[in-house]
Order: sequence, then C-alpha cells, then structure tokens
Amino acid sequence: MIHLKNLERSYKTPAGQTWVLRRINLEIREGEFITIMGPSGAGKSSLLNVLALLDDSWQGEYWFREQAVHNLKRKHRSELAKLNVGMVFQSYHLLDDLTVQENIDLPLSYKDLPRAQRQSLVADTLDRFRIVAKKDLFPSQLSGGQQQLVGIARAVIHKPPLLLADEPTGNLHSGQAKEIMELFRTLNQQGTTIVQVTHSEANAAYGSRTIQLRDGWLVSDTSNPELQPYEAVKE
Amino acid sequence: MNSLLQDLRYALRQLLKSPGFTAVALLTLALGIGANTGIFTLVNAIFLKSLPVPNPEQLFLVRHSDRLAENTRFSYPIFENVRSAIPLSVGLAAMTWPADFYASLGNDQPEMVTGQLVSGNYFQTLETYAALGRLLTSDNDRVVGGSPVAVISYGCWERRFGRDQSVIGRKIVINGMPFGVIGVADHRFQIVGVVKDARVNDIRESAPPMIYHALAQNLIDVESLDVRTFGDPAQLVLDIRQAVRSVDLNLPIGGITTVAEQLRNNLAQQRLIARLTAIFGALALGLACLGLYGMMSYTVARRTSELGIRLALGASRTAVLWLVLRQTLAMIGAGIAAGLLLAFLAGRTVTSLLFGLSPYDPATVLVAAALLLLVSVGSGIKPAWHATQVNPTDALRAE
Repeated sequence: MIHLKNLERSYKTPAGQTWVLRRINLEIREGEFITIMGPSGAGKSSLLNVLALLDDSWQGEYWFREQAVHNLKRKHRSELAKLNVGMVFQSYHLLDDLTVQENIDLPLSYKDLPRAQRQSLVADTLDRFRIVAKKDLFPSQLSGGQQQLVGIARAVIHKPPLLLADEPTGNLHSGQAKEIMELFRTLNQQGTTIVQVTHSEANAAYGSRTIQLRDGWLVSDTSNPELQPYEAVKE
Repeated sequence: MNSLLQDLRYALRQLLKSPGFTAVALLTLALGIGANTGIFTLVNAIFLKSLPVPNPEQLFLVRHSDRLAENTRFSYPIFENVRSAIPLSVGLAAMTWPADFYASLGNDQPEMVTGQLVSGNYFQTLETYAALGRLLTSDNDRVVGGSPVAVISYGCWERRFGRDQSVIGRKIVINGMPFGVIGVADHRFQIVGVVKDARVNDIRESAPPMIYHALAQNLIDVESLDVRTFGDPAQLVLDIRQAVRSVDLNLPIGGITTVAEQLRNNLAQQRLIARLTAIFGALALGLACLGLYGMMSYTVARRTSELGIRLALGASRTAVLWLVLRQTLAMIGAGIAAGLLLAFLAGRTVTSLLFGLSPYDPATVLVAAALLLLVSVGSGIKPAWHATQVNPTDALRAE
C-alpha cells in the first residue's frame, strides 16, 4: 500500500538544520496494523504526518498504491489524502462549536456528496458507534472516551483504507483505552489498514507489527529482523 | 447552499460565544458604515444633486452691476432689444425676483402666494416641460397686456388644487386681475424653480407654491436675464455685452455667471463642511477597515488550530478561504444592518443640510453601503488568505 524510500525530514532552526526523520525505508501492506514506538522526539508523529500527507516538506520517495506521491503537487496530495486517509488524534481535535453530528459530517462536507447520502452516512456512523443519543451534544459535554469515539467515527465515516492514529488513547484511562483499541481491532479486521503511534506496550499488542524509531532513524521492525542496528545505520 | 448555511450557523455560534468581541466588531463596522452613509448622503446632496436644472453650465445669469444706481433693473424694452441683437441660437429669457402676490384660487378669499413674472420663453430657456397643459410661450410676449394667462407650479397644483386635472381653464385672480390657468409647470421645473427663484434668499428653504405669468401682460422692469447657450461660453459673454452696449452704452453689465457658479458660490460654506466631513468620513472608513483587518487577523490567528483540523480532514485551501470569507461577510452583513440603522437615525441630523434630497434616498444609501461592503471585504481578504496558508501539522501541534 505504502512504500517509503530514503525519506528524510528536517527543520531549519537558528542553530542549524535539525533532522527529525533519517533515511526511512518502510513498506506498509494492505490490512496491516502497525504500531510506531519510540521515545519522545524520535520522529513518530513526524512520520505519521508524512504518511497522512499533511506534511509536504520532506525528501525522498513516497509511493501510495503505485502512485508517486513525491511527484504530486500539494493539491493532488490533498485529494489523495481526502480519499484514502482517516486521522485520529491524541487530543481528539473535535471542533468545539460543532455538535457531535456536525463534527462527524465534517469530512463529508468537503466531498461532493448529495445531502441525502451525507445524512445517511452520518446516521449509519452514529448508529454503528452507538452515539445516536449524543448527536446534538457539543464536545465539551462529552467524556474523553466519548470524544475519542466521535474522533474515530469522524475519521472512518468516509471509509478510508488507511487509518492513522497519533496516541489515540493518550488522554484516556485504561478502561476507555481498551474500548478504543478493541474498536481499532474490529476496523482492522474489516479491512482497514491501521498505523498507530503509541507509548503503550498494551496498545502495541493489538497490532500485527511494531517499528521503533530513535532520533529519526528506523531502528527496528518486527517484520524485518535483518534491519541494521541503529548505531551501524547512524555511522 | 447547505455548506453556506452550516458556515453561517457556525459563524453565529462563534459570534455568540464571544459577545465582547462581537460587540466591538459590530460597533466598529456600524460606526464606519453609519458615518459614511450619512456623510455620503450629504456629499451627494451638495456636490452631485444640488442642481436639477439640465446643463447648468450652459445656463447664464446676467445682472445689472451698478449697485449704486437707484434702478438696478433692465427695462422690458432693453430685454427685447438685447434679444433681437444676439444670435438666434442663444436663448434669452427675463424674470423678476419672486414676490408676494395676492391670489384668489377658485372661490376662496385672496391669499398670499409667491409669484414671478417671466418672459414667454422662460421655461423653454430653462429646458422645463409641462406636467399638465402647456407652459408660457413666446406668443405670450407678442401681445403686450394681452390675454392674461398664468402657469402654476406643481406644488401649487398639488397643495391648492389637490392635483385636480380640471384646473386647466379655471379662472384665478392675481392682485385683482383675472387670469386663465393654462398649464402646470412640471415637477422637475418645481425643483429648478426652487433653486433659482423661491430659494433665492435661502437655498435651504423648501419650495413654496408659485404662480408665473408673462412679463408682457404686466410690463415691469426685470432683475435678471437668463441665457442658455450651446456654444462657446466666452463668446456668449462678449455677444451679450455687445448687445447691451448696442442698446445703451451706459448700461453697466457686471455679473454674467452660470447658474452652476452662482449656486457654488451660495453653497460655499456647505461645500466646505461637506469636504471636511468627507475627509473625516474617509478617515472613519480607513479606521473601520483597519479595525476590521485587525479583528479578522485576530480571528484567523485564534482559529489556526481549527483551520488546521479542517485541512487535515480534507478541506481544500479554497474551501478554507471561502469559510473565512463567508464568516467575514456574515459579520459585515450584521455590521451593515446596524450601520444603516445608525445612518437612518443620523439622517435626522443631516436633514437640515440637504436640499431637495431625503437623507433616506435609497440609491444614496445603497451606493454607500455597497462601497463600504467592497472596502470591508477587501480588508478581510488578506487575513482570509493567511488562513489558507496555515500548515496543518503546525496547527495541530500548537493545540
């Protein structure tokens, strides 16, 4: 599904160039449930933003279903992301002034869908996530777990083949986190490819593959035991 | 359409969520719009609409210039001689200043009305047309003291005869002398007449009901000659002076001014006020735009995270631009509504400065509102453009 070749990302700071991703080579296959782990500042969220096509300022090659993303213009990258990627955030990032129903409808509002179809999709999603009773509430009236549930519903309403989650349970207690992870597992079993960033070993256990980042380098991959040791690559 | 309604609903929620900010925004817009609509009304009235006479630059007023002379009038024969001495292409008419007449209109007791004696071609020279019946013509100059006929103004017809069309042919008595009404000066002439005659002492006074009759029916001296030319104005002045000299070498001709100049001179003070208010209006508009720009920039900065989320969820840069612009328009719309209300209230204050124009003239208010809408939208475009440049990763990280 996704193939990254020698992908690099850096920022220019007054102190010089700071690298956040170094020579990343990664293959993500359809239907995988991948966990990205690593200490703070390792480049996990940066990698997720690159995968989500939210970040344009990287070098290297990025192939998405045989499409050379690195050759696409910003507008076409956005179109590609709109069709194929759903994003779940640690802080939920729901819009405070929109109701649950309106938040879930938001990604659809940016697609050319007839109103009736949009309403039907929203109604189905509310039902599927069992939040029909909450549809007219605002995010501030929901618990953290409920907000994340809405965030996931919003991410998957347009049925994206790829779901990216940046520490989706970071702000939830263990009970709520378990429910969310079970939901991810179900979505994955239904065919959605999932890439999550987490610090939690328990959450990582839900995935089928784990990769580790450190100082921007990909240092381990459970599906590739032959990956060169971090120090060797760094040299 | 749904998206528009959703954006407007969202904008309304945001505005209600920050009532202080909303109040300041609306007040800024309302003050800018209200002040400018009022000022534009005044400027429009003084600079653009104060001369309803067709081609006022071609209409000249010739006056006797010897202020020390006891008699500062032209005699009727001098008028006729000058008329025969100037080229045929030049229209020359004569008039007395308006005066109080005693008139019996119908069966009523005599009452005081404003009357004016004019040459038969007076209305033709001013390019004024009849609203009903006909006006005086050159034929009325031919028979001195002949058939006494009169023309009444539109206001007189409206107020004294209730716009009764059978007024034509009705006998009225002016200063004890019976006249037959042959026509009603049209409504446009009423405005011209107000400017030139009835408002000769104070242009801000409203037009009184007027009665005109031909000079030839009551031979008296005339105070002013009205000249209409379509040729070179400088040549006209020479022709007039030469024609007057050919009649009487000692007759001093002083002021030959266009009606437009005459009015400009009379309105000098009002024009100065209008200019100053226009400058202050422009400043107010500038400040309102600056305020709007500041508010929109602040709004966009405050919404960076939200815009980042929208971009991350698939909004195109164009969609974000329109989102911000639509919400700007919602605010401007509310501001304009409040501003127009303010202008409506301010209209009562400026009424005393307007001549022949209502402060609630729809065209004026619409033009002022449209101009301000344009400028306000212009102020909101840059912040809206900045919104499209939001980097979603930075925006999401900032939360």
